[in-house]
Amino acid sequence: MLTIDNVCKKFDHRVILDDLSFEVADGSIFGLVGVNGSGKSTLLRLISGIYEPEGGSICLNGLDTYKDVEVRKDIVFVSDEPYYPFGANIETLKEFYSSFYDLDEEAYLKNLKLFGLDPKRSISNFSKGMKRQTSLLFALAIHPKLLLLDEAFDGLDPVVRLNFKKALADLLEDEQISVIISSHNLKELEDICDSYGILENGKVTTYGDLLQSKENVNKYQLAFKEDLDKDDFNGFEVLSFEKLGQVYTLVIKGDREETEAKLQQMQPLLCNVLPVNFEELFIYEVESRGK
Amino acid sequence: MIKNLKYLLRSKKVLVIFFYVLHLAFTVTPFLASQAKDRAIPLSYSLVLNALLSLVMTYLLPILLFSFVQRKRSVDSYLALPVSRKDLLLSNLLFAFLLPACCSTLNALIAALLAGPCFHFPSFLLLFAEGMITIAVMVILNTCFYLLANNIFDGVVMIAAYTAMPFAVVGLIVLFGEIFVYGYNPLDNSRMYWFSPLYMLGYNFFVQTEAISNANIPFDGMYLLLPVLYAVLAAFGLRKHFIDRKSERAEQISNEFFAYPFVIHFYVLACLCMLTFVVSNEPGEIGEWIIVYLLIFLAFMIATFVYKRRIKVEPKSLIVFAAGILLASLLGFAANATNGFGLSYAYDKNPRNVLYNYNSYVYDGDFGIRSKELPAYWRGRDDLFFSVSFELPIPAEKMDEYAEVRELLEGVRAEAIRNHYEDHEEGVFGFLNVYNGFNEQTRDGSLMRFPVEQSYGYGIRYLTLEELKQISRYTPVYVDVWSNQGYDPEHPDDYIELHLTLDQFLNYKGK
Repeated sequence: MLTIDNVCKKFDHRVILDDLSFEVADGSIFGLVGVNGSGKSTLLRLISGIYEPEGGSICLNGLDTYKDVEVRKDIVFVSDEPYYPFGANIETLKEFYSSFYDLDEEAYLKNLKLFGLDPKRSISNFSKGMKRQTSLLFALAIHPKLLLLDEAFDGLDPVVRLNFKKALADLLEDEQISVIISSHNLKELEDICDSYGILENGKVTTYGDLLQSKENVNKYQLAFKEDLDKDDFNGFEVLSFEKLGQVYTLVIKGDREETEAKLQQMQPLLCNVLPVNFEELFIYEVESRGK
Repeated sequence: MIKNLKYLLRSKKVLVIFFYVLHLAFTVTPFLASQAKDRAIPLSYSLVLNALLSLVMTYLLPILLFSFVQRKRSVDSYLALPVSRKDLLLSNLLFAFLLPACCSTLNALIAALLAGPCFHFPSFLLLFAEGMITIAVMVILNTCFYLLANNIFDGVVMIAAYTAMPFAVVGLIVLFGEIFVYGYNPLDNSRMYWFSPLYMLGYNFFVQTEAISNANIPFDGMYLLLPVLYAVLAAFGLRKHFIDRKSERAEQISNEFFAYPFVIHFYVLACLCMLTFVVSNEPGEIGEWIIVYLLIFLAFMIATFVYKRRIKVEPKSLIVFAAGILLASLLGFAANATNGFGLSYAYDKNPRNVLYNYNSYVYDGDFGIRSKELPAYWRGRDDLFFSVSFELPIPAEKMDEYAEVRELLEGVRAEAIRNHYEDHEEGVFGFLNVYNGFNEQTRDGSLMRFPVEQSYGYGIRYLTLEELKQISRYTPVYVDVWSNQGYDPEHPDDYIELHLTLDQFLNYKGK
C-alpha cells in the first residue's frame, strides 16, 4: 500500500503540491491525471524518492520512500524523458541496472523480444518510442512493487502500446504490484486503470475507483415543457449544464437511480441517460471546479 | 557504496585505460629523451609530469562523475536508485581519487625502477605521500566547487573561479602593499598563498621533487595542514550540496550563496579595490581611470547576465556596483590616510629572530674620506666606488644584548619610512632588508625591504663610517672593492675584486 500523507512541495516559493493525501492499494493500476503543470511529474518524483517533500510523508508499505533507501529497490520510476549515458546501448544499461537491482533475466529476454529491440545498437540512434520501450523493458525486468510511469504512452505507436499493455498485464498477473501511470491519453488509461486521481492546484481533488466514479457520473439528456434554467437543478450536483432549445444536457454526479428518480419528479418529456468515459469525467470534474 | 564503485570500474574501463596509458607515456618519455647520466633528473621530470596529469584529472573527474546531479534527466535515473546519496558521494569521490592515485603510483614505481638506486628513498616516499594528499584534497575541493552550481556550465565556471580566487587575493595584497605599505615585500611572504590549496600543495610537491635527488628539504607544514583543513570544510560543503541537495536544483540558475552571488561580487569588489588603490595613489588622473571603471561595470553586467541567463540591467546591480566603488574608495582612502594602516611600522611591535641585511653602493666621499665631488680622473680610479654589506642576525633571546645596534638600525628604518610618507627625499641608495621571525634553515621570514625594489621608492640613508664601525662590533661588515689601480686603457675591464672586512678596507685605504 502506498500512503501519501499531507505532502507539500514547493519550488522556491511556488507551491506545487499542497497538503496532498491519498492512498494506492496493492495490485492497483492508478491513473494520475491533471492539466499541464498540475504537478503530476513532481508527485511521481516525490514518490520515487528523487525529491524530498517539504512536509508530510510518502510511505510504501510503511517505509518512507525518501529516507529509506532499501524501499527504493521496490520502486521503479520511468520518467517522461529517460536519461541514457552517451554511447550507451541496452547491454550497457543492463550492466547499470543489474548493479543496483535484481534483474529478472527471463522477463528481460522475453520483453526484449516482444519489443524487438537490438541490444547492441546505440540508444542515441533510437527513436523516441524505442527509447521509451527501453525504459519499460528494464522497469518490467526489475519486478518492482511500485511502478511509476510518467507520460507512459507518449511516443508509442499503437502496436507498441498494445505490447506494453500486454507486458504490464503479465507483470500484474504474476504478483501484487501497484502501478501509477500519469498520462494525457485518458482513453489508454481507461483501458488499464482501475483507480484514478485528478491533480488540481496542488491537491488530489478527486480519486477513487474508476468504474465506480464513472457509474457515479452520468450524462442526462432531458426535455421539459416549460423553460428552465440551471438554478432549477440546484438539488443535484451538476458538473455540466447545456441548453439547446428545449433540450437540456446535464452531467450530474450522484447515484444514477436516485438521480433519475429525482429527475422524473420534474416530469421531463424526455429523459435519456448516457454513460461518460474517463476523458469526459476528467473534463467535467475539472471544468466544474473552474466555474 | 561497493555496488556503485564496482559499476564505475566496469563502466569506465575505457577512461581508466586512457588515463593509465597517458600516465605511462608521461612516465617513460623523460627517460627516453634524457641523455643525462644522473637518472635522478629524468626521474624528477617523470614524477612532475605524472603529478601534473594527476592534477588535471582532479579537475576533470569531478565534472565527469558528478554531472548527473546537474541534469534533470540523469537526476531521475541516479537519485531514484536504491543507493543512499552518502554512498553515491563516497563511491564517486573514491573513484575520482583512486584513478589518478593508482595511475601515478604504478607509474612512480616504474619510474623508480627505470631510474635505479639514484635517489633518496625516504624523500621519494614523502613525495608519494604528498602526491596522494594532493589528489585527495583537490578531488574533494573541486567536487565541492562543482556542486555549488546547478548546471554543468556553471559548475565548470565555479571550479575556475574558485581556483583563481586565491591568486586574485594575492594580486590585491601585492598591489596594496606596493602602493600603501612602504618596505612591504609581499612576494617573499609565503602566508599570502594560504588561501590557495593548489599553490600550497604544488609548492610542497615541487620542493619534495627536488629533495629526492638532493637531500631531505623540509616542506612547509602549514602548506600541508591548511589544504587538509580546506578539504575538511569542503566535506561539509559536499554534505550540503550533495547529500542534502534538493534534486530540483538541476538545470536551474546557480543562485546558491557561494555560487554566482559570492563569486561575482568577490571579483567585482577585488577589481574595484585594485583600481581604487591605483587611483588613490594618483588622484589627479581619475578622469583617465573612468573608462576602466566602466569596463569593470560592463564585466559585472556580463557576469550577471550569464548567471541569470537573461539580459536585463536591474537597479539592484547599479546599487551594488556603486556600493562596491564606495567600499573600495573608503578602503583606499583609509589606507592612504593611515600610511597603509601603519603596517610599515609593524615589525617594531613584536621582534623575534630578526635579521638585518644591509647593502649600499657608495664612493669613498660618502665616508668622509674624499670630497663628494667626483674627480675628473675617476674613470681611471674605479676603486673609489665600493659596496658595503653586512648581515646581522639577532636571536629573540638576545634582543637586549643588541639593543644599541637595534636602536641605530631601527632609527634608520623609521627615518626611511618617514621620508617616504612625508618628505619624499630622493637620491638615497642604501638597501636594508629586515626579516622578522627569520628561519636560518629556509632563510625565510616576514620581510620588509627598503626600497621594495631598486626602481621604486626611496632607500635608506648611507650608514656612516662611525656607524659601520659600531655595527662591526656585532657582526662582520664587508666592503667589496672593484679595483683597477694601474689602469690600462687597452684593457679597461681588467678589474680586481677585493672582498674586505671593514678593517681591511680601512687599511687598504691607508686610514
